[in-house]
Amino acid sequence: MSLKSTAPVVALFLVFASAQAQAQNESSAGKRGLSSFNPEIGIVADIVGRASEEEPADPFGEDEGIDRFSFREAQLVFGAFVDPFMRADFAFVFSDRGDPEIEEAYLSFLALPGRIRSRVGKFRSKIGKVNLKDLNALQFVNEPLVIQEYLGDEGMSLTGINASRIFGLGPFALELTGEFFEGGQDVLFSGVRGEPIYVGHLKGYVDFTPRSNFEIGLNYASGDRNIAADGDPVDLRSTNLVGVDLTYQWKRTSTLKVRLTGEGYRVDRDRRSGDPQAPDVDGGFLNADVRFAPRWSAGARYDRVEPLELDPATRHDDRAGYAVYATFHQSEFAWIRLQYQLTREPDGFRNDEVYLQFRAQIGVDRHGLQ
Amino acid sequence: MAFSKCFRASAHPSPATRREARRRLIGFCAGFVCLGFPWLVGTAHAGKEKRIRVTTTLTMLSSIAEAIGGDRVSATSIAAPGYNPHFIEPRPSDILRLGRSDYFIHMGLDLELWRGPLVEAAVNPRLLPGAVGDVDASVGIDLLEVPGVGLSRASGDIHIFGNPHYWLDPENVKRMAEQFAGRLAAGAPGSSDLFRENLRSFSRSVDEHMASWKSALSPFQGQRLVAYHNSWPYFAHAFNLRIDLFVEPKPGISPSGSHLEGLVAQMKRDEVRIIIVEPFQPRRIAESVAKRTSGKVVELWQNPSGKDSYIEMMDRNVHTLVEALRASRRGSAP
Repeated sequence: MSLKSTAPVVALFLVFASAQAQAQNESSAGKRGLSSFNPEIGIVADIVGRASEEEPADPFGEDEGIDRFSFREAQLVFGAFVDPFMRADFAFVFSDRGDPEIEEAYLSFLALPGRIRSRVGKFRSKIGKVNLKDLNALQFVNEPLVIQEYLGDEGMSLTGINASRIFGLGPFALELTGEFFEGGQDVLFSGVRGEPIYVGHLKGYVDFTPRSNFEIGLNYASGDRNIAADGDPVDLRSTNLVGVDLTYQWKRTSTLKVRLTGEGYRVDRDRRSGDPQAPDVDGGFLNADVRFAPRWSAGARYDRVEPLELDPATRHDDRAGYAVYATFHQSEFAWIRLQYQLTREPDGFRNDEVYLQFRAQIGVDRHGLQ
Repeated sequence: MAFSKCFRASAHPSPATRREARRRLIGFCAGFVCLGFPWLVGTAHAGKEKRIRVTTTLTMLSSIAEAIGGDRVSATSIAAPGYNPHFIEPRPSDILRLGRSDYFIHMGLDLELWRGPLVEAAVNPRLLPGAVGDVDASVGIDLLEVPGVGLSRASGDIHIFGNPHYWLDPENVKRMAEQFAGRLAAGAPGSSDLFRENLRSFSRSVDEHMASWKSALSPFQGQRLVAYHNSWPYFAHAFNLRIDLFVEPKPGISPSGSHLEGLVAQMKRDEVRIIIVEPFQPRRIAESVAKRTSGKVVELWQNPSGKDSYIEMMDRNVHTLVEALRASRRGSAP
């Protein structure tokens, strides 16, 4: 991470932070000034240590320090109402592994007719449940394999516009969302900005009892894929992602609850040219998470995914993962998590990984409703 | 224009024409009765009885809104009564309900940090902060424990505007009810007399109960008590109790062994025997402290259960506490 690229964001943060502190002091003294309009500010620190059996292919290149103790991200969050009709939210991410980036930056329209909700800017796409969460807000240390494989290591956050509407149908609450992105996702799609990606999501929610509820989501994403083979620079073909996500939650109190989650996806790729290198693939994960004490929670996750670059000759060689984790909730604002994960790679390699995560937040923690 | 032809005056209508006109008239009336009349009745009924939809964060707020609004108000709450109001996860059904509401009544301050994203998700411009349907119950309340300059999370999960559990002083609830009556009347001027009358009745009832509660607790004035969390300063202020020992070392921080050791020692030294817990707090920890101090754990509620009102809840709280204090005195008597 270069100092030059970090400096403007740090300067921006310092200006906001000092103004915010001034605003707090003023309001505590019973005075109010223009600085009262400064945005809410929050910082999340996410520090992860990892030990594995994986051997870096290039120890001094991109794979440097596969096993390391790293500042995975420091997330800076700003947000405020722009006026009675709009809210602006920003999330910048710093890491000791790369340049700072804008994780999310979007405007939310809060007063559209017909109770339609809309966002414009860069935001996380409404695919499943895990993709909607920041990496540091997951109940496990890393993204499930299917999300990493199809949507990217940190999920899919792109620039575009969306609209959603919640409506009731008997005991169900339904939410229909449509999204349009400019493109630029190079894991599943072409990576070409200007090649649009369309996302549709239908969520159904029902309360079984005052303590338990169930949610189902149907997901669809469509875009083009870029194949560069044999000197053929760009061959755009259609790629579709279809999926389903299921969540059951039982909650006795805020510190005694069970949450069962599963997501499954299938990637359907147009092979008009008869390209055998792009078979249809699928994958998913199951997760059980239990908060069993005020300070403790634990869970397990099962992953299975067929890689996008699946060899058609050995197509049953998928990646499978088994993870168990325990979290110590030091307070509402900090937790420590230990996770063990076993991953079986398509080539038969068995990778044992141990993660240790420290997560803390200061200021405002503003994660929208799921 | 067959219809008009049938009703057109004619000097000499034939019997067949008259029969036809009569048949059509009867048909029209029957159609009106079957289709139009229910619509008109429905409209009139809706105009007369259309209830003001109020969504509140907590059940105690819906209890007061119902007391003031009477039949004119339909009030529901988001947080179930036995849950910690700090940590509610709103559901899609709550978003849907809020989207259809005329008023959103909340505790204000920083008690319900989950309410901001909820209101935005509901896409109901009436309920955005400062809009006509947004009712902040903390307006006009004199807050206790307002922190000074130098605020930090090193002090735990403290509240930046002051302690937000202000509704446990019934005098504050009267102020809240007054605000609700004014806000409801502004939206439904035709019912303002009803709201005023209900407000008078509610305030009178609070005053009568307050006198009885103070009388019941008067033998224990200045009594020191332990609470799991610092939720009771307004209750203590209202009834002249001293609730300044806590199972939590700092607000929102789970107790460590050493803190509990210190608490046990202090309870023994000062002969403090009662520990107040709320339904969502881990009673087991409080029970272990009570066992070591020959004390007693009493469960008091901050929100009505849904079957009872705010006054009934406070009545139950006061009587539960009085009984425990009496038993404690009997137990410590030589």
